[in-house]
Amino acid sequence: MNEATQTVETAPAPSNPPANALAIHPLRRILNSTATWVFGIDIILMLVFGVISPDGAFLTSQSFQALGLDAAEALLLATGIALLLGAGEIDLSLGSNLLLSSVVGAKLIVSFGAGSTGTATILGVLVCLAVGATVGVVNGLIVTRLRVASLIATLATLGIASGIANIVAGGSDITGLPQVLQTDFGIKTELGIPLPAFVAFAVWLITILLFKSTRYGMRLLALGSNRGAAQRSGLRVDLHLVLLFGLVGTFAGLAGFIDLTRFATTNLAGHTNDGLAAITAAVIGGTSLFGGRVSLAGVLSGTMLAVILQDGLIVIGLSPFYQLIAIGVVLVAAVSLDQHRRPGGLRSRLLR
Amino acid sequence: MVRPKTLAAAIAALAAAAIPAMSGVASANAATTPYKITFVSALVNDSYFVTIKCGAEVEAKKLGVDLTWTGPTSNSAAQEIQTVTEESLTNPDGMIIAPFSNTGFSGVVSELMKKGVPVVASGEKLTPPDALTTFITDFKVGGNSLASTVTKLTGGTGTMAIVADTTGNTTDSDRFTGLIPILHKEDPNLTILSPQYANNSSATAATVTSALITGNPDLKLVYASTGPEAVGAASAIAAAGDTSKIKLISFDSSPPQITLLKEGKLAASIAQSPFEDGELTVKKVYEYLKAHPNGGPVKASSSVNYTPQYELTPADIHGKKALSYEYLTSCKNAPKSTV
Repeated sequence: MNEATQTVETAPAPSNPPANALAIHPLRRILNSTATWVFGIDIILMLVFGVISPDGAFLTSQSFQALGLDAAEALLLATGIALLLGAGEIDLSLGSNLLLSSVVGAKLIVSFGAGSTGTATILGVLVCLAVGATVGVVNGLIVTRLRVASLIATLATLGIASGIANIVAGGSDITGLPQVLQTDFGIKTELGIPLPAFVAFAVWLITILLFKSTRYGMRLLALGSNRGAAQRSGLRVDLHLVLLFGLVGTFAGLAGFIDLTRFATTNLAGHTNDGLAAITAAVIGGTSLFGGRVSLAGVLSGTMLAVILQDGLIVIGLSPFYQLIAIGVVLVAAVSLDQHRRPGGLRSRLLR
Repeated sequence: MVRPKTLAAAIAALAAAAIPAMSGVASANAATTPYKITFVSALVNDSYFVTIKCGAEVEAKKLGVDLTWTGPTSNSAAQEIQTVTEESLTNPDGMIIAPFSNTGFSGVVSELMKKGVPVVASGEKLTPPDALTTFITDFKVGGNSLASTVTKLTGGTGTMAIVADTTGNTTDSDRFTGLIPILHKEDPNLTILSPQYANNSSATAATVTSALITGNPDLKLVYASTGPEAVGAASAIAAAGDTSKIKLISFDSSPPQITLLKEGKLAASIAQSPFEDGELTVKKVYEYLKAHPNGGPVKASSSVNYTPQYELTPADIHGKKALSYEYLTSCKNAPKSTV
């Protein structure tokens, strides 16, 4: 799965592999990738937590299910943000977009009443996706038409979407959603996998296929590594960006629907940090904050690192204030280890 | 050409005329224009604060007060302090603050009080006590009253977890800090884990609760200190398939919590009376302004007025008394005056 890591470089940068990197044996490439390293750290942490937790409780199927459920929404958002980062853009509004999608979806489902849950649910999913996509496209239009940098544009829509969500919800969380949404999907497990985790994993996998097997991935990276060159080679940059923002917004919409089914209510006060958490997960997994490098495999290992840390430290009974310190230390350690082993990383620079 | 000295004198005269007006004191014209009272809260999208707003509006209408309700949608004390500072520039006759920090509001509140603007605190005491008075639920009494419920639900054994909201907020911590020593004494065989914080996020509360379930095979009870935490914990307990083994209790009675009570997924929840809080705070400011027509610095006091609370359970959730403790989502269905 690490083959999903693609790199397009237009100029040799010290922190990236040399131009002949693609000639390296595939196995070595996989072993050398950040995603694999972070995945290794994930495994080590899981083993450590497994040993420390009472009766190895962290390594039980119930614990894995909980991890999967906790990771579902984060994986969707991180997958989306990795694509955007690859294209040299960012979206801070993902958390608000998730919230707005879930609020509009909830309003619609509740308005159908208890009688027609099936129809209401299908429409609910579609509306969540549509709202997510709309917010994404608006982000894309602000960036491409109004020429506002995506950092500022999405910081603005972060507030706007959250404001609209509160207005639509009437300032209070929406209740009255059919319980079956939660029992038959939001917290339902099939073959040992929670359904939301299954959906998120499937979307992640499809994104990898899209990225790997179509020209889309290459174009996206071209946008991120050298926008001017991409434009001169005939790429319709603006259209690409708008569609990309739309796609990422759709992911947020789907995460919004999952949130709705998991809790059978909305959470107006609860999604402010979701976007930042997604960016962190993607970057830890090896996606560059500055465009041109996406690691979708790393999105999974980065998301899992956050979830494993958060869950594991509680499972072993560490008090919350020490958890904050431990999470910070592990994050710095994980990223600096990765920097050390890279060609041109800290170690080589010191030896130069 | 205007000479600089004349100009300076004119500005001084204008300033002198403006200062009394800017001091915010309800002066002689108070009899003709209604008192302007500003209520600053945080988390204005939370049903608890929506209910306070409804109560405050009912009382303001009754007394003929011009009420402004404002505040951030987040639980950020910094944003709330900023809002109070900005609102104080609009020269209200009186202010009510539902502070999300005990200490952060000191400067701005004491400044207002010095200028003659009475400030009443709602839901949290200020340290030092800079406000005119405080209306609050006795969270310690409410939390402590859950002791017998905890004993009943756990049989005095096993493990109990606490999923709290934020750190540095006694409105939250009072809900469990008094309860823990009582339980240690009454149920010595019950293990109580240190609180985990979920910061108003249902998703974080679910993550925390599922990890607590994994790490504590003998977990029997989760105590969520407020609404989103209860929703997250309920989802995690259901996902683990442990609803019969692990019980959930909470504080507050937001609409999602009422739903959980009705579905039997929440064994008990302490409801506050935010509607009455809203009414009483507006009334207090109004009465102070009436009694002090000439203004002057307002004397701060550490006096506290406790508002009622009630333990809701699935058994009585459909009762008339329970109904009066449910938090509102909009003022359309607000009750008539209760004070």
